[in-house]
Amino acid sequence: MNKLTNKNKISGGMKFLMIVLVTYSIVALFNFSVVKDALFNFLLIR
Amino acid sequence: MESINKQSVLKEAFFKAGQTLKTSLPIMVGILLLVNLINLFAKSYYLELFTGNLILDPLIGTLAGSFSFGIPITSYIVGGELLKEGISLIAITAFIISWSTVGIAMLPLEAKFLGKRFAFVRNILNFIFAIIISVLVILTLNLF
Repeated sequence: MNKLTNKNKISGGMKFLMIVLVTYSIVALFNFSVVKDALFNFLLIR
Repeated sequence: MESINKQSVLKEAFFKAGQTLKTSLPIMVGILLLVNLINLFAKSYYLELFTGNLILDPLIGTLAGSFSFGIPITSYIVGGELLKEGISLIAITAFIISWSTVGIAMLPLEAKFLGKRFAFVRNILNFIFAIIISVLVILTLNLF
């Protein structure tokens, strides 16, 4: 039972990534070009 | 016998490294996405932050560099552009040093892997020494 619960638990890192993606979505609602630039920089530099 | 033992150790190490990568990958991607988003908003304020004051400039430079985080090459490009705009070299030196050594955005990641105490002490010390080193760099440049 414990093993099952541990397997289904979302890790802290994934939660953080989800929060960032939600932030991106909120910013995209107001200004899509900013999000587009940020994603472009992310793909280009990293 | 020994080669089998070595192989199993290698296998275990490989598995553990894979597990660590699996844990850290979402945090790394999340932080890099966040840094790129913050950088876009902060970029337009860089020129307003540096006023030309010899005392305040290194402090503001270090603060700006601490919040914006990225690969060192980017800081040289930003530093070069700022220098063209007429911002003092002392501020740019502090900015470049703190850009690569102090990372406020990276603090959660660093605290997770190396401990909260270590992360705070390292960042605070780097912050203080970034100011001192930038002053020393300018003093040394003026000597020769």
